[in-house]
Amino acid sequence: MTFENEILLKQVPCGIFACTEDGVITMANTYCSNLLEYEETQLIGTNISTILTLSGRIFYQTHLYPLVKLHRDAEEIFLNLVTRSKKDVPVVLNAVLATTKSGTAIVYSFIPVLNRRKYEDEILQAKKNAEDALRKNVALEKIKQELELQQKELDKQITLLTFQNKELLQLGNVITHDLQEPLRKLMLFSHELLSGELSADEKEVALSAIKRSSQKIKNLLLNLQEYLSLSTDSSEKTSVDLQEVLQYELQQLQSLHSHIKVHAEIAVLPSIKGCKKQLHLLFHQLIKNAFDHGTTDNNLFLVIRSVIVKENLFNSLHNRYEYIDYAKITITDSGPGFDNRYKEYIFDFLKKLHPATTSDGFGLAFCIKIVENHFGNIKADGAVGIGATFTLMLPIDYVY
Amino acid sequence: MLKQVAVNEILVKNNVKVFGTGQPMLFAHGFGCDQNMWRFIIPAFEKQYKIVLFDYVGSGKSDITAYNAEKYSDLNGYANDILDIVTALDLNDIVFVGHSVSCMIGLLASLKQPNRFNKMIFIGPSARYINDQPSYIGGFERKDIKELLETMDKNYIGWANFLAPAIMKNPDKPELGEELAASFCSTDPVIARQFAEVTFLSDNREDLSKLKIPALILQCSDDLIAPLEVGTYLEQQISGSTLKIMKATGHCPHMSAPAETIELMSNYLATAS
Repeated sequence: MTFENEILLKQVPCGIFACTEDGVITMANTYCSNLLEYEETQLIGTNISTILTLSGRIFYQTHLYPLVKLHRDAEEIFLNLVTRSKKDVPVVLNAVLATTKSGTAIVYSFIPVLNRRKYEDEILQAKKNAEDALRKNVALEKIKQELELQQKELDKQITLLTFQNKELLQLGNVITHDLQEPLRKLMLFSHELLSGELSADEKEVALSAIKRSSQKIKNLLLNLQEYLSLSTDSSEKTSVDLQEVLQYELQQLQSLHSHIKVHAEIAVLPSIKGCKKQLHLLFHQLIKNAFDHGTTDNNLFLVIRSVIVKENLFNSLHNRYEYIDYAKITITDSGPGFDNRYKEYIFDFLKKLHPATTSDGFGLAFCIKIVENHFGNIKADGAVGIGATFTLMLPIDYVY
Repeated sequence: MLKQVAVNEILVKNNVKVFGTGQPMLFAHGFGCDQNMWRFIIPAFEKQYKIVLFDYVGSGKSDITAYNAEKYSDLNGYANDILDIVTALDLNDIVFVGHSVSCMIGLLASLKQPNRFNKMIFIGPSARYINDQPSYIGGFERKDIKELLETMDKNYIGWANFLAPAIMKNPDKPELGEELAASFCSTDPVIARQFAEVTFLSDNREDLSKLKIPALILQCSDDLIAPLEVGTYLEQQISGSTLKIMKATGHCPHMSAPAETIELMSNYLATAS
């Protein structure tokens, strides 16, 4: 390069500087130093953050550096540089990842764009004004809020309706099948009795069959009644300490099953807003389920965990999101478990995987009903020979 | 199990890429970039691990029509997307590697489904970017973040240009595949603005102690976005976590110092139980 050209280059009307990938400035031309109010060599050795505004530094770390590193160059970047006396200088900047003898360096060139910023400011101001006007539109805001409330209500109703449809189907099954069977026996044996042709022994058999069937019908009706009472329960929702509920129910069940040795690892459960009676029943049934189906050689290994996570409160409406706190509680036993194919089946009325057990097949139906009443959900996961896990998701404080 | 249609939808929505076999290693990119930022790290692990890469909705080559301002007004929206990917691919025993804001997104995801995750690797994490004196130093004052968001507004016109760089051929840069050249960190500017707001105003301090999975915290020596105090705070709050202060500076050691990052990751994976 001729000496003459070097003189010209020294006076180029744009800023040029170079950095290591760590951001240490290794070179800055006269224009750059002058504009940023530094002496000719003063910038050398300082970090690029010295000449960036705070937001510029974030921008550099999250966008500019990754772009230059991956793309090897970047063009037309709008940034604010900052002078020694802390004045902002808006610039448009190009960058390139250059190869040097000692490795790589990032070389930047820029020109100040003070006027452009004025235009931008005006455009943004106009945009902001328009947005503010929209925001301040009281009537619109009110309608928006109403819509929001109605959508929440709608979501609850759709969820409820879906659940009730399932309930109806199950009630239908009870009427057409589960109630018919003992009724048929009642009719058959009473008919036989009335015929007057039975011996004394046969009468005995018929009478005890009638008694068993009546008892079965009575139990079924009692369970149905209790189940249905959960729908009409309008008792007040209060803050319920689930830790207390769990401890109480665990003790109750332990004293009923004194032959079972419980090995429990229980996390601290939170308080949630809900119906205390129902939540007691929920935990009673879940723990009872573990006592009934989760033991091995009269040992019950129980792990109960709890964590508060945020989930979308909308269940049924798509594209609506509002994240609220839920208590996620898992109850795991290491008993015989069950085939995961039945993970939904077991929540239905009168569905038992082990017909020999004495439970009446309503326990988990109560659970799902109570959880629905609290706008939560429950699921089961099982693996044969490994155990079963019930996962509850209950809103901490969902106003309803 | 999800239906194949639903699986495909999730994989397209987040531009999910899977290769290699072995224990799954799921990489989550930070604010401002996309899955390409991991390309200096991946070669070290692809022989031993099943590598899973993705772009958040609004970043890279994700399906931008899937963006929902309400869903992504909370880091939980992004966390649920990670769980969708994990479910779609039925990944278990995952090594999660997150950069910057993705560390907390990964943490939220792991709290929801802890059984899926095996180890967490956090690169430049922060539980909260704004100081909460006297007990917490996040590195920024509220006004700094406001200034950043204003700058993003101001740069809106420029950003649109910046964030969606023209697709070009790179004959002089043969090391860059055509596919890579097409999508350098392209992000929709409106989405980037909201992502910035959700990121820099987030506060996940209460979630830290809930994490029960072993975690490695990689902290750069001079990181403006996640200062040293933040790394120390995280180590104190997450039981069973390991903090490593790197020689590397800045906020992107996986790009500026990949060798050191790989070494620390490998050592941790080899020794942590």
